Amino acid sequence: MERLFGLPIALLAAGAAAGCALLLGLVLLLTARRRVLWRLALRNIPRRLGYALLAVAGLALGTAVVASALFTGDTMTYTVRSLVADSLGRVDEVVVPARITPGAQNRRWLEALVAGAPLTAGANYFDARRHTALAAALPPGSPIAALVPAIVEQGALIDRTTQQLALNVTVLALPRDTPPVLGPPAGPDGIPLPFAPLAPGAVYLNTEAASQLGAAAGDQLELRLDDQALLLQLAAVYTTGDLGGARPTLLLPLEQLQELLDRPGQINQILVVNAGDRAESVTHSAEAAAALRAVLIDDEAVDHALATLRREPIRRALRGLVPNLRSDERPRFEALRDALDAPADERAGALVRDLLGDPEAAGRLALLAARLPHGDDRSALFGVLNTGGGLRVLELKRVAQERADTFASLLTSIFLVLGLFSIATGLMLVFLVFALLAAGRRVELAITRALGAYRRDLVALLLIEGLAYALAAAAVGVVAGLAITQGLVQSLQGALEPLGLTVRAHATPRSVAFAFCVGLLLALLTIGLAAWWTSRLNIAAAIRDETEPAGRLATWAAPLLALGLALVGAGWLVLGNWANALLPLVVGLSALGLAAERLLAWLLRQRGAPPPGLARLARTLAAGGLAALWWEPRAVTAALHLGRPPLSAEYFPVAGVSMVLAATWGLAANLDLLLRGLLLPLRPWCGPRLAGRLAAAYLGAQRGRAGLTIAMFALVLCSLTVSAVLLAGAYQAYGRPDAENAGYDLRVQGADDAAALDLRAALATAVAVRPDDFAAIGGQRSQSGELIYLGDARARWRPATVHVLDAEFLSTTTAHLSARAPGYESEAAVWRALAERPGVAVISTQLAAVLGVPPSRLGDAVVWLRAQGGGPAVRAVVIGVLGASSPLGDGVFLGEATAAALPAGRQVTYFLRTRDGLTPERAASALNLSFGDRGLRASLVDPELRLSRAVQAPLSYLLRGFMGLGLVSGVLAVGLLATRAVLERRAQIGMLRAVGMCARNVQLMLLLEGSALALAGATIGVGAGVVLAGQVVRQLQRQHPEFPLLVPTDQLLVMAALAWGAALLAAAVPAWRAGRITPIEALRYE
Amino acid sequence: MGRDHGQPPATLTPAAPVIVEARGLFKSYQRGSERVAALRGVDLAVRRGEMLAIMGPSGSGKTTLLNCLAGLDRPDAGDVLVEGQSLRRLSDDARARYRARRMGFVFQAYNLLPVLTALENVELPLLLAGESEHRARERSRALLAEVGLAAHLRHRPAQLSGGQQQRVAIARALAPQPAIVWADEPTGNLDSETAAEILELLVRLNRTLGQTFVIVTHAAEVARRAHRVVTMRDGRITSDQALRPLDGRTPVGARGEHVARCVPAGD
Repeated sequence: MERLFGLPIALLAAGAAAGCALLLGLVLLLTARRRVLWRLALRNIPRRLGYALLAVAGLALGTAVVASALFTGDTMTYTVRSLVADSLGRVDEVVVPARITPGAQNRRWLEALVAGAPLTAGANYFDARRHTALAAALPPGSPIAALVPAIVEQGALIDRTTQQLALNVTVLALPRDTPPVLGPPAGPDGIPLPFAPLAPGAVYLNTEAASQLGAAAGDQLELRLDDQALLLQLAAVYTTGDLGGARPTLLLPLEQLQELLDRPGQINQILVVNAGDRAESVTHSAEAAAALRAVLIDDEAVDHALATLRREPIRRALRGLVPNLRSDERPRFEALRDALDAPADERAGALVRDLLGDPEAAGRLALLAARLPHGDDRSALFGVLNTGGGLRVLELKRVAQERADTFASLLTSIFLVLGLFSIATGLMLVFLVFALLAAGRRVELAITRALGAYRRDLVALLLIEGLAYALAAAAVGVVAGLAITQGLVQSLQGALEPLGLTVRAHATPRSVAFAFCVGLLLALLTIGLAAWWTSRLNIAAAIRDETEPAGRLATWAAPLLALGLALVGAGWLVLGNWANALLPLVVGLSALGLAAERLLAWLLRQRGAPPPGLARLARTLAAGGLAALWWEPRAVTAALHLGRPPLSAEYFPVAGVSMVLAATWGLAANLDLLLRGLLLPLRPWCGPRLAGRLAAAYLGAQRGRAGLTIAMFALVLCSLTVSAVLLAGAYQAYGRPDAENAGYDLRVQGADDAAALDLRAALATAVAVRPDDFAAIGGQRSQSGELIYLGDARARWRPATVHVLDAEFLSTTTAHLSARAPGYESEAAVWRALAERPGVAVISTQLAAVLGVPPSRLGDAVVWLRAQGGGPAVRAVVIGVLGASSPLGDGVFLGEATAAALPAGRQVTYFLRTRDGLTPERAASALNLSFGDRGLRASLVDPELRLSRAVQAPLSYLLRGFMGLGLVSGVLAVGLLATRAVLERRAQIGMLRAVGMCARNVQLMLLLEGSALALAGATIGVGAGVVLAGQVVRQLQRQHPEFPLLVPTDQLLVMAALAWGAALLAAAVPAWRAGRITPIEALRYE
Repeated sequence: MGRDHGQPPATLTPAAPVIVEARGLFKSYQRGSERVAALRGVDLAVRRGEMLAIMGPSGSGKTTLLNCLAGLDRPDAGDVLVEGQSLRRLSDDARARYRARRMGFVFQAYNLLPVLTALENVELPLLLAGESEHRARERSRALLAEVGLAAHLRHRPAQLSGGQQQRVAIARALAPQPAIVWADEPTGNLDSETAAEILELLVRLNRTLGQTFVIVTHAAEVARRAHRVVTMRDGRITSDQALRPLDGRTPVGARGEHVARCVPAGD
C-alpha cells in the first residue's frame, strides 16, 4: 500500500517518526540536567502496577487499531499483487481483441480475477498475422523486450494414468521459438527443457499442476476445453516459475493447440514483456502501452474517430461525463475534451489513440455512447470504439497493482476513520489514568514543586513515566495489530477459499514502523496533555491535600481564552461563508458559542461566585445549543442568514463527535439531578435511597472524571449505532442475497440444439456429479414473443421474451418481487399461483416500465401474448413485478399451465441450488466437465454477489470489532473510577459503615455510580448515533432514494445492555471490596 | 491596610538584617458560593537567624501566610520580599528556582517522596538547584549524619519512624543552605517525646548554624523555644511578642549566608 488519505505512506511515516523524535528530544532536553527526574519517574512505575497496565492497555488500543488497519491494507495489496504475479509471470501487458459492450469488460476481469487467472479472461481469437504486423511496426527504442503470440485458455485436466482431476488449469500455447525473456522451462534439476522439438501431442506441466494430478512423464492426459476433449502425453514436468506464473499450467507449442482446436493461424492474445527485470518491468508499462497503441490504430482510423467525437452531442456528453470520473481517469478525458473543443489542437490524435487503445478508457466512452440520445451518434461512436478490430492493450499488471493499492488504501482509510472512535476512547482512558495517577500523587508532585522543581519538570517527570508505558504499548499494539490481521485473514480465507482465492497475511516494515510511531506519538501527545494539566496544580492546596481552587488557569487567562475562541470562531465563520461550506460555518458558530459561555462564566465569577443553579443552567443551555446546532446545522445557518450550504461527507464524523461531547457536557453538569430523579422509585427503601443520594452527590462533585467516562461510552455506542443503522438500511435496500440469486447458485445454459437434453435425467449418468449434489433444479424455457397491454393508450404488439418456468422452479425459487397484486400474501404465493392457475403472469421491472403498468394495477392489468410473428394469443393477468436486479432476465414469466397454448421455447436454462458442503464453483466445474461436450455451460448465477457476500461478513465483523474495541476502554474507565472511588472515600465509607450503613448499600452506591455512567453514555451515544445516521441516510437518499432509514431497535438495545452489563461487572469488584471495609480499619487508615 | 500594632518587632538586634518582609498581604478563597478571606492585610518582618513561631486557632490564616511568604501561593494583594527580592515580580519558574536555592520546607506530614531513599530525598533539592551529583551526595550524607540518621541513608520513608522521617525532612530543608526554612506544624504528627527531640534539633540548628526558621504551630512548647511569637486570628496578626533577643552571635558568612561548619558546603 502506497498511499493513505491521499498522502504517500512514506511521507506519513516520516512525519510520524519526526514527531516522535521531536517529542523524545524535548523530553531529553527537559531532563538533560535533571537526571533525578528519570529516577523519580521510573521508580514510580511499579508503585501502581494496575494503573500502569491500564495505561498500556489504553495506549495499545490506539496502536492496535492503526496497526491492524495498515496491515489489513498491506494484506490486501500483497494478496492481489501476488495473485496477479502468480497468474501473469513475466507478462506485463496483453494485446487482446476487446469488442466494446458496456459493462462487459469489468465483469469479465472480475470473474477472471476471482478464478485467479486474469490471462484467460475470455479473449476472442484473431489472426496471428496481427502479431507479426505489430512487431514489425514497433519503433526502435520502445521499452518492449518481447511480443509473443499465444493462446491462453483455462480447462480441466484429467491424468488418465493416475485418474486424478485438476480443475482450472491454465493452458498456455506458445511458439516453439518463444524468446527466453518469457522464462524458458527447466526441470526440477535446473536443466533447460527443450521446447522446440516437442513431439505432436506432447506437453509439459509445471510442478504445481503435476503435483495436483500426481503426474509423471509419460502419463496420458485428457484436456477438457469447453466442449472439446484433447488427448495429450506428458513429456516432462518443469519448475513453476515465470512461464504461466505459479498457477497449475499446461504448456504446449502454439501450432499444436491451433491444430487441436482447429484454429489454424489464430491466437487469442499477444503477450507483452517489458524491458527490465521482474521487479522493474512494470514501471515501463505506460510507455510500452503507448507505443503499442500508436501502432494498433492507424492515422486514418484516428481521423475518422476525431470526426465522430467532434459531433456536438458527443462533445456535450463528454463534458457531462468528465466531472463524474475517478480522479486518476479524469485528466486524460479533460485533455480530450479540451482538444476536441479546439479544432486545431494537435494533441487530439495522440489522445484518441491512447484512449481507444485502452480497454478501460474505451469502456468509459462506451458508457457515454450508450447514453447518447440519437441512434446514429450512438452507432457511430460504437463503430469508432471498435476501430481496427478492437485490438487493445491491457496494462494488466500495472492496472492490477494500482487497483490493489487503491482498494487497500480505501479499506485502510475506512478502518481508520471508523477506528478513530476507538482510538479516541483509548486516549481518553489514558488521560483518565494519568489524571488519576496524578491525583494519587498530588501531594508528592506539589512537594517536588515546593522543593524547586519547575512546572516543566513535572511535565517531564510524567512524560518519562508515560514514555515507558508508550513504548511498551506501541510494541504491544503492533503485535496485537498483527494478531488481529491474522485473525481477519483466517476468517477471510475461510470465506474466500471456495472462490479459489488465497489471502496472504502481510505487513511491510514501513507499516510496522508507521504504526509504532503513530502509536507512540498519540501516546506521548495524550500523556503530555495530561502532564501539562497536572503541572498546573496549586502547590499550597496540593500539599495539604485540599480541593484544588477553582480554575487551574490564571484569572487573566480565562477572558483571553474566550477571546481566542471567539477569534478562531470568527475566522471559521468567515471561511465557511466565503467557501459556502457547512463544516467551517458550524465549527465557527460552535467556537463562538463556547467563547460566549466562557466569557459569561468569567464575568459571573468576577461579580462573586454565581449561584450553582445559574452556572448549571448556563452550561446546560450552552450544551443543548451546541448539540442542536450540530443536529440541524442548516436550519441554524439559514436562520442566521448564512445560507444553507450542502452537507458534505467530512461533516458527519465531526458532527458525531461534537454532538456526543456537547450532550456529555450538558449531562455531566446535571448528572446528580438526573440520578436523583431516576432513583425516586427507591424512596420507600431508606438504605438504597441513601446509597443513591450519595452516588449522585459523588458524581456531581466529580464532573470531569464522570464526563470523560460518559463521553467514552457515548463515542463508542454512537459509532456502533451509526454502523448498525447504515448496515440495516443497506441490507434492506441491496441485501436480500437469497432473492438476488433467485434462490439458485448455478445457471446451466445450452445451445438451441441442446434443448432436448433433460438435465435431471442426465445427472444420473454424469461422470463428475450426481443428482443429489443439487438441492433444487429449476427449468426455464425462453422464446421470443409479442405482447400487448390494452391498458396503455398507445397499445401495440411489442417484442418481449417469454419465459416459461417449470413446476420445480416455481416451487423452489425465492426470486424477489418488487410488487405483487393484492390477495397474495407473499412472494411464494405469487410463484405458486403461476404454477397452479392458468392465465396469470409476472413481468420484469423493465417491461413494467415500458408497458406503463403501475403497481396499483397489479391483479387487474391484462396482457395478451403470442409467438413472434403471430399465432393464437394467450390472456394473462399480471400479478407481480420481478425485482430490478433479478438474474432471471427481462420479459414476461408464465407457468406451464398458462403457456400451454404457446409454442415451446427452444432456449432452455436450468437454475441449480447446490447441496450443503458442495461449493458452487466446484459444482460448476464438474458440470462443465460432464456436459461440456454436449453443449451445456454452467456458470455462477452471480459471481460478484458471491464475492461481495464472502468478503462482506468478515469485513463487517472486523469493522464492528474495531468500533467495539473502544467499549473496552469505557468499561475499564468505569472500573478505574470505581476503584479510585473506593480508595479516595475509604474514610467516608468507614464513617458510613460506622453510622450504620450496611455493606450491601455501600456496594449498591458504587454500582449505581457505574450504572449511571454507562447508561448516560449509552443514552447519549445511541441518541447521537441515530441522529447522525439519520443525517447520513438523508444525504444518501439524494442519490439513492431506495436507501431507507431503519433503526434496528433490538440491536441497539442489546448493545446498550451489553455496555451497561460490562460496566456493572467492572464496578462489581471494587464495590465488593468496599463492602468488606470495616469502620475501624477505614478510620485508622485515614 | 494596616499593621495591627503599628510598630516593628522591638527586640530584634539591629545587626540582624530583615530577611523576609511581608507588606499588606491579602488572600481570599472561594468556598462553595462564599468567598473566605484568609489574610486581611498582614505585615511582617523576619530577621536573619530568627526563630519565629506563628500561632493561632484553626482557620486564622497561619498556613496561608506561610504559603504566601514561601512563594507557594500568590497573595491577592501585597508583596513579599525575601532577601530584598520581590516574589510578586518573579515568574513561576524564577520562584521555583528561588525556592530550590534559598528556601527549605518542613511539613507536618513529612512529605518525603516514597520512591526515594532518605539520602535521595535530601539530595533532591540540591539536584533540582543544579548541584553536581557528587557534591549533592556528600552534602546529603553529612546532613543526615547531623540529624542523627547516618545509619539510615538507604532506607525508604516507609522503613523509618515518624521522627526519623521528620529528621530526613529537616535535612532536606537544610540541604540547599537556605536563607530560611519554613516549617508547618513540624511536630504535629509526632508523639510528645519525638516532638521534643525534633524541636531540640530545630533549636540546635538555629543556634549552631544561625538558620532562620519560621514555624507555624499549635504547640506552646515550640512557641516557648522561639525568639518571637506572632499570633493570628481571622487573617490578621493580633500579637507579635518577642520572647528573647537575637544575640547577634549567630555565625554569619561573608556573603550573608550561615556557615555550617559541620557540613561540607557547596560553592
